[in-house]
Amino acid sequence: MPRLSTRLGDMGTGLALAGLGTWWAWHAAAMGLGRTADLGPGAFPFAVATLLALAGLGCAWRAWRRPDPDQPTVRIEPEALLGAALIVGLAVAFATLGLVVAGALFLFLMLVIVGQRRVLPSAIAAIVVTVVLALVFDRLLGVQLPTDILGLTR
Amino acid sequence: MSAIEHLLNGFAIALSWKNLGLCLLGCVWGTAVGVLPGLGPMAGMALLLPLTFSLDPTGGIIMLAGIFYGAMYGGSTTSILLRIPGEAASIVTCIDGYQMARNGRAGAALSIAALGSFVGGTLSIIGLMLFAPYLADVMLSVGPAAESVMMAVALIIVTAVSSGPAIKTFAMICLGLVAGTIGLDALTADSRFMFGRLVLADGLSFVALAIGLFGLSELLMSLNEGAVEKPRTPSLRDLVPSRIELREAAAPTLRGSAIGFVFGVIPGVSHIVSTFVSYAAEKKLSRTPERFGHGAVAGLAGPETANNATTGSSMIPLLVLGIPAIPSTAILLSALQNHGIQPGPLLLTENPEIFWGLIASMYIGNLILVGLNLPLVGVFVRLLQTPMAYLAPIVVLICFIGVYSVNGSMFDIGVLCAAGALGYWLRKFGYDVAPALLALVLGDRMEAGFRRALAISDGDYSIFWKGPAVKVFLALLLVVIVVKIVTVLRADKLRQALD
Repeated sequence: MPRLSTRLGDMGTGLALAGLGTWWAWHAAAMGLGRTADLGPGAFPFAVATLLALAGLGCAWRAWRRPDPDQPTVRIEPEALLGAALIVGLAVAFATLGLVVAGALFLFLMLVIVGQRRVLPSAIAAIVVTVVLALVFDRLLGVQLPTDILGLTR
Repeated sequence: MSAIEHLLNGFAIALSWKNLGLCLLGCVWGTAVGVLPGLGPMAGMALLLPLTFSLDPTGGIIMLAGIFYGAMYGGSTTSILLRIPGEAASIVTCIDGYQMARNGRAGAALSIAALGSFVGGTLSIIGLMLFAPYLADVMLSVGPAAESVMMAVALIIVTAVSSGPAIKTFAMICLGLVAGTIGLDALTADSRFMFGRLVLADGLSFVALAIGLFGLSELLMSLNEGAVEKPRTPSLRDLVPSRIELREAAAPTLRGSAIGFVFGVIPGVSHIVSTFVSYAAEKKLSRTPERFGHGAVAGLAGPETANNATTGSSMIPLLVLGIPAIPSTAILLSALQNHGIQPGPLLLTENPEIFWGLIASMYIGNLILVGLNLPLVGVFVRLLQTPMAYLAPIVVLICFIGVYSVNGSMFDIGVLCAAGALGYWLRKFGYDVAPALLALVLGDRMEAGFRRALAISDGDYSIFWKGPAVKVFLALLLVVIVVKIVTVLRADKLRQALD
């Protein structure tokens, strides 16, 4: 299972925030800061982005100065990685296949791979749950959903 | 129209079948997410936020408020029966509540917690009803400078009272403010950080960010969690506390109501602070402090009451000042804003049905929680038996449906996934993402107030520290910092008791 050094991860996160703040401040400055009585559209973003850059550096500095954090490593659960990959897959399929097909596939894979359930019951559960969700949200509540290739949702 | 007439009107609104059903739905869903470890009120409210867009604003806010106080209530059930705090504010309940359960008084502990929650919730609603109209009158005279200072003070207080490292909380606030600058400038309509995408004209979708940062990241964190060992659930007969227990709970319940109410009004101070202060106060006032940590009734009744009183009074800054005092109320703010309603001093005059309908529904909701949840405690505890690997995929699908339904935009789905991954990563490294959401909501108004104030003063910055309102906010900041220092010192002692 993947483990990350807390110290390095903490420092990396701080530096990433600092980098984002710097980049944001740079672009905000280009928008025009205006003058004190008439601040331009870039003034506020510039100020908060500068603070973000400083706070990010502060976080990185704090991590650098703490040689022994309470937990030396952070565990990235394999279930979370699998789940994240399947969620990205669902996002892609949701637009192209619609809720019922994409949702049933997602539920099935989650139950089998992450939940370690048997194939047939998982397939039945996935189809039933997704169809019920589609009927409730689409037909009953009239919620806007992407076009379904099976034509089950409007 | 007098307050009583307004309240009666509020009851007429809240007691309509539709609003009663929404209140019930909110309470049940709130209790469920409060019971499930990790899924607190924020995630619970964020997940159902998109549903409120298809409802009228009063119905939507009634449902979300039901989730809010239902989650607070549900958190105490697992704290007492399993020593698992469903949400952070129930940590103190674990100390004596769990000990009472171990001493064979689980039913009585649940009842005392329920009654305390009911009394605390009800008294704080009365306070809200009495104070909110006066505060609203005062707030109407506050200008843009004081408004922007008030928001800045709220964000500084959030940083000061955060449980984690202050620098990380501050970074999250800055991140939220930065994200809030995406879209058209509110004053000049210049495009900012839109990268040529019209979909970003209104900024990043709050719903997608809220559900991603709280709901999705929480689900990813809990995917490997299995079922929890089944606790012995008390029978209905066990639920009746003895006369001695009721007598021991009476005074702490009233004190907890007062403490919770005061801490709920102060922006940025969360339930955790009020419950710890209440516990410390009860221990200090007790004639038998040695019983604390071994099943003292006062150690359960005080903090539980304070927790729920905080929930009610935290509505005051939201409804009267338009400032979400705690992150959960940011979701309520967003729900109202999506209906074109800006909470603030004018809410009472322009939309009295929302204000009084909500107050009335909170009375009803507190009754529902007592009447429904005590007999159903076994059902909610059984929820803990379901591994998250089964629940999570269904909740993810509902998240997708909810986010897509708002704008019909796949871009928002992308934002949801990105926010989920970001939230997971940040939480892993000890960043609390709630302040980011709070800052995202407040950023627009803070910027507009800041720029308008400078335009009025012709660039003179002294406008931000002149005037009585500004001085009041700065004094409040000072008070909170002092309270924080005292609480930290007390928390060290309490942590030893918890260990």
